Amino acid sequence: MADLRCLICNRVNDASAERCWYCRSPLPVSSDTPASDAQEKIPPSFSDANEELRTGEKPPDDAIEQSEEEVPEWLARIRELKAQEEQVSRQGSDRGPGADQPPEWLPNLSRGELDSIEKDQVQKALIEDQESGENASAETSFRDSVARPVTGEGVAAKDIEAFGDPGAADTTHPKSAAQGEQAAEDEAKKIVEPVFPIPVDDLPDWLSEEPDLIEKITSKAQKLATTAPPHDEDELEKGALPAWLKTLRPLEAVVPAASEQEIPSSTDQEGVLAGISGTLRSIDLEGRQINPALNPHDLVVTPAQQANVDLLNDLIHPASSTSLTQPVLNKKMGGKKFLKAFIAIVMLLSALLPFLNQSFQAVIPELFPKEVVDAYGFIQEIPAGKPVLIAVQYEAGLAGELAWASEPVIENLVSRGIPMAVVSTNVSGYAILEEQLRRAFTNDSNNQFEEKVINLGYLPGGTIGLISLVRDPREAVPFSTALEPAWESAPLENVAEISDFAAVLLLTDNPEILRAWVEQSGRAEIPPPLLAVVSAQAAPLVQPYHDSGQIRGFIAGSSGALSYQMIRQVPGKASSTFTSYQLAVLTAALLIFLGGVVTLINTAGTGIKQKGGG
Amino acid sequence: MRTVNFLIAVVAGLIVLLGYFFPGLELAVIRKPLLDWAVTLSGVAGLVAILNLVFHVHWKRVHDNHPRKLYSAVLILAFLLTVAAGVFLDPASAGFQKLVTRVQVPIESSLMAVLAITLVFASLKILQRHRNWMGFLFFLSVVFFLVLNSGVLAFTAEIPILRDLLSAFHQVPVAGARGMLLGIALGSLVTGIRILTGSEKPYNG
Repeated sequence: MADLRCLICNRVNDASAERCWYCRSPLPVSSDTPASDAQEKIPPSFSDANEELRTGEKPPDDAIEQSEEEVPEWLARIRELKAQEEQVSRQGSDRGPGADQPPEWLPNLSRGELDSIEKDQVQKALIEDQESGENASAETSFRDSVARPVTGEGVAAKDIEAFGDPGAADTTHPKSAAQGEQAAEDEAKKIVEPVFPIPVDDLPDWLSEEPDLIEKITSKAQKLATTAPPHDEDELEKGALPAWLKTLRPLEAVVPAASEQEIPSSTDQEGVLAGISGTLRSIDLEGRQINPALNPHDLVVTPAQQANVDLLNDLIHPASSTSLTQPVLNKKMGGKKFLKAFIAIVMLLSALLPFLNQSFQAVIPELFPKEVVDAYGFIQEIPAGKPVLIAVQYEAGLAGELAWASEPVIENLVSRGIPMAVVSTNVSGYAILEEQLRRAFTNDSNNQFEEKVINLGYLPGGTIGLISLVRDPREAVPFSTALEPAWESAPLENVAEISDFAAVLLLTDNPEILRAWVEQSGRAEIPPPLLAVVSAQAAPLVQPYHDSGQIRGFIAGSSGALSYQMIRQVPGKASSTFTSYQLAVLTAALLIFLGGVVTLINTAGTGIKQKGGG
Repeated sequence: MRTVNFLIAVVAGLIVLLGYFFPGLELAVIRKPLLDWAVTLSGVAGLVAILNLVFHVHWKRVHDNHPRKLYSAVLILAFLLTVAAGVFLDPASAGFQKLVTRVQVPIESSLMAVLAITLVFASLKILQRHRNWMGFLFFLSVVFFLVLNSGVLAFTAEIPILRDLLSAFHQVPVAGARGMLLGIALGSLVTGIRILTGSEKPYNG
């Protein structure tokens, strides 16, 4: 079957259609001629009408009358629209001085359903009407009227544009005026009526035959428009929990399940199944309650995890893991307390014995470690006037060990009259070291603390602060702890970069700090020589840096301090402290060995497990 | 917001990293303020952490009548006294330094001494808890290296074979430390790459 092409919007419609699906214009009578041919065979009258619209010339009246009998219905409608357009244009050109002002009805559109875009289009079209003249206005209106799709809003905009001027309705053509009034009434009705997705007037025939449905739609829309409460923007809507969240709610918060609710068996009164009985009803999801699982997340514990739990429980509650009676438990706990007290007393005595009995001498190492020898040799080569930067970062708990370990080195620097600048990368380091430096200077009458030492205080930022210090020390720590310009004082006046220091002596208990200094000081164009005084526990981790030449030398713990003191051949506290250290370490080793042997003997019958690991 | 954090972290990291590899470029102009900001931010972060600890955690304990509110009250009082001392006594003041060296150092040193005794006590029971070959090897290692590092075996310097043997044993901890350092370096490298590529986002909290 051949399709029909609309002569107005030029779109293809089904051959059975009487009006265009898109512009609602009457379609030509169906024939066997293809649509494309139909357009080519446009009647002369329509061609003339188009020509008239383009040129603005009006054909003679007798010509119209001659062809009126042959005019089909769709062409008559076009002519009717054309006459209305001419009337509107004539009225616009006949208006007086107030013609440039927009009509009074235009602002009222803001209360209607037209959005701002439609209003702008209407207003623009009217102004163009007034400016471009009669024919151009007629052509524009005609094109707009035929090109706009027929929707609820589209119809309103088109009609308002076509019949917008109410003054045009009461002038020349009574019929047009009546149509204009009717159109204005319809439009006002549409504006008052609420928007509905389907225009009731444009419902298809099969749906229009359902009077109940139309009535329901219109009544529902009116009800929504009239009875809808004003919405408070500040008031939040009550939220409904999603189903997955409801399952996580505690049992106490859940009301009896939906299975206990009775579903009414009456016929649906609304919805797509309205009026149909015997249908399967959908479940009311909003009112449905989902019972959460009683044990949704069962904890699965492996035997290894259970063993670790038991071990931890034994450590925290030693008495709870045994099935011994209370007197036996008390006896075992008493034995543990006695053992702890015994160990503490023995360790304390071993540490204090060398100080109480000066005749007690430790085994002195005969070979000096290479790193200590290198450190001593480098310090001896430092020029007397060139300052050394002492960087400090250690915990206060290890201050005792590091004070003993660093004492011979600091005394060596003081005796040689080398200026020193102190900077700390933790908050307490500079205070601890300053006290130690003051003690060292009291033993040397040739040098004064205030002349040789500048305390630069705390450098925050960790590694980042270290980077800034390496990049520009004057900017990183501009003031001393006395809040004076540090770099204008005598010891540091010739120092502009980190490489101007004779060496950087690092005092730390953490090999990570040493690593950071090695890495960051290496960024300088001329990296400063690094020396270190470290805790004994950090010595194995510092040794590789010395072996690779990244640090010139280091002193580790009391044994390193003793070696340095012996190389220097100056008496000091290192010998007595090393004796205490050696005796305490040997005591600890002996206690551990004895404890292990006793344990092996007591548990000899149980044997040793073949499986390795902890 | 996460995208912005990611971009800031990656761009800042790349600028600093490129500054290492191409010192001739004018990246220092950007890198310098970045590092200055980082130092300032770290200082402010420390201050915020301290204030949070004192005025949010411990003050809340005192206010809520916590069973250990007495300790919290002492902590707050000590904090306020230290702050007052730091404000009215400059950091170079001998009084302020003695506040550190006479209070903080003895307390932390005592804790270290207690730790030493606790470790010895725990080592006594090492074979009771871990009665396997690894436990036995650990037990022997502890005893042997305590004796070795105490220096009582200094007489072995006169005996060539024993001297070389003990010198080799001295290198065992160093070898282990080298392995640890290599692991730390590789871990740092991988972590840095993961942060630069956005696989790791520690700044998202």
